[in-house]
Amino acid sequence: MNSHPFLLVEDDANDIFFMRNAMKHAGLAEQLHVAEDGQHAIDYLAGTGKYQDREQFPLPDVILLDLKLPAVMGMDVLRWIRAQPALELVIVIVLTSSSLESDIRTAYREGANSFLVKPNRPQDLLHMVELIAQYWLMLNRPTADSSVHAVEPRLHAVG
Amino acid sequence: VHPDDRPRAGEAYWDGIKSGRGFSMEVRLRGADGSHRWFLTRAAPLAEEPGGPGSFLGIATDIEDMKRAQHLASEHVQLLDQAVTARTAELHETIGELEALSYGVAHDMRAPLRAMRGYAELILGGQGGTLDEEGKVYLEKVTGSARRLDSLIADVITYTGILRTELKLSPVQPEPLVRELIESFPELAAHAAVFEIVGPMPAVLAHEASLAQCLAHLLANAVKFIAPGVEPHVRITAEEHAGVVRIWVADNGIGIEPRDQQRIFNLFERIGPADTHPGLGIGLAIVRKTIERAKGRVGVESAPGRGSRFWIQLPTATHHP
Repeated sequence: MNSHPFLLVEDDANDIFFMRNAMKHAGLAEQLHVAEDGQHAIDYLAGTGKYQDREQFPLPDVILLDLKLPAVMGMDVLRWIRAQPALELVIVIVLTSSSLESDIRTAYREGANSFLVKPNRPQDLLHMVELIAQYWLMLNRPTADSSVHAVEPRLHAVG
Repeated sequence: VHPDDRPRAGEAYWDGIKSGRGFSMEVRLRGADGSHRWFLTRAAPLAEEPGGPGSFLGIATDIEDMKRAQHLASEHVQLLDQAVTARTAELHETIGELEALSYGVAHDMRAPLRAMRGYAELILGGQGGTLDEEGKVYLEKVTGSARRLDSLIADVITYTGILRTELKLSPVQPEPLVRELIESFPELAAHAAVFEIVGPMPAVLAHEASLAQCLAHLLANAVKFIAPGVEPHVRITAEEHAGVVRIWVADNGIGIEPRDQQRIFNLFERIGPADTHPGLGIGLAIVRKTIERAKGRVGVESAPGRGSRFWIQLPTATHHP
């Protein structure tokens, strides 16, 4: 059975809670992995330190990336991801509370696949998660060598 | 004569003598005590004679004190210039810091607010235990207050955004803009209001997106502040006069007391209690600031119980090709 891991890069405990909650209601609870800051995200993706076990910490199909992070900023994580041959095609969705034009431009220029503003309400977040799953895991056609390999029929039940 | 002035002085002297026109020049002369002082030395021909004048009247005036005063004055002007430049740079820096601060503060305040609303809505949605009716009412008041604060913060961000961004002006047709706004805003449709648009309207010089925002705000106000049981009737007209266009938004609402008519355009001013006047006291300030940044003006004519007529005045587009 295929899995489609998500990696949420987020330092705000509340936002992590709401994302877990939304993923649970979308039937994707098992797929969600969390890195609490930019450095943890890089360690996770590089498989270093406590993230060596790929069974427990699989490479994600979709990265949900906040921009305002302590220490290593989201934009730097994005640049790092796109500089890794193994990750250059992974889907990166910026998910942030900023809608500054300069952030949007920079994110796309640095290789983000999508730019989303955090919804205010839990229902809206659930709806967003369902749309992300439908679009990026089912509708979107990835390259053969990107980390998203196959469409999982179970996801048709989502949303 | 001071060594530095000698070449210049010599040239002017012989020029003046040979041509017969005399001369007038400022040179430094050495006094008996060995120090130099500035003099205005002049030579004027005494009589017109064939082949040039034979003699000149020469006057040397001590202008040292005047020279010093002049020098001092120009030094002061220079210092003043430097001080103004430095102060202006400091001021720009301070403004920049304040803008960044207000944006940052406003932005960071939204995250905990979003969390408060989120948790409250989860509880209201049945997660995290059940509430009795009273508990639900209280929690709804919590979310309502959080929502109000959130839209206030959003408005502050918008307001500082207007101050920060350069508005590019171009000709805008107000009439289709107004029609589009009325059709696309569910908020306006929800009030079951009658909109009467009197065209054609002259084109204005404006920043289209921000003018749309301002008009949307005036239209929303026009249907919002209405006596109970009255169907809102909003009439939008435009008139051109002496290079400017005035767009009027007239309603049949509750009207505004004369003493409040200027206040409503200020930041954080509100008239009337919050429950009957759900505005947040910043919307019209946004309208005013936006229009002023586009070289326009705003105003209102109103009387209690007789409706309000808000206007936006902008330069006519044809006067600024």
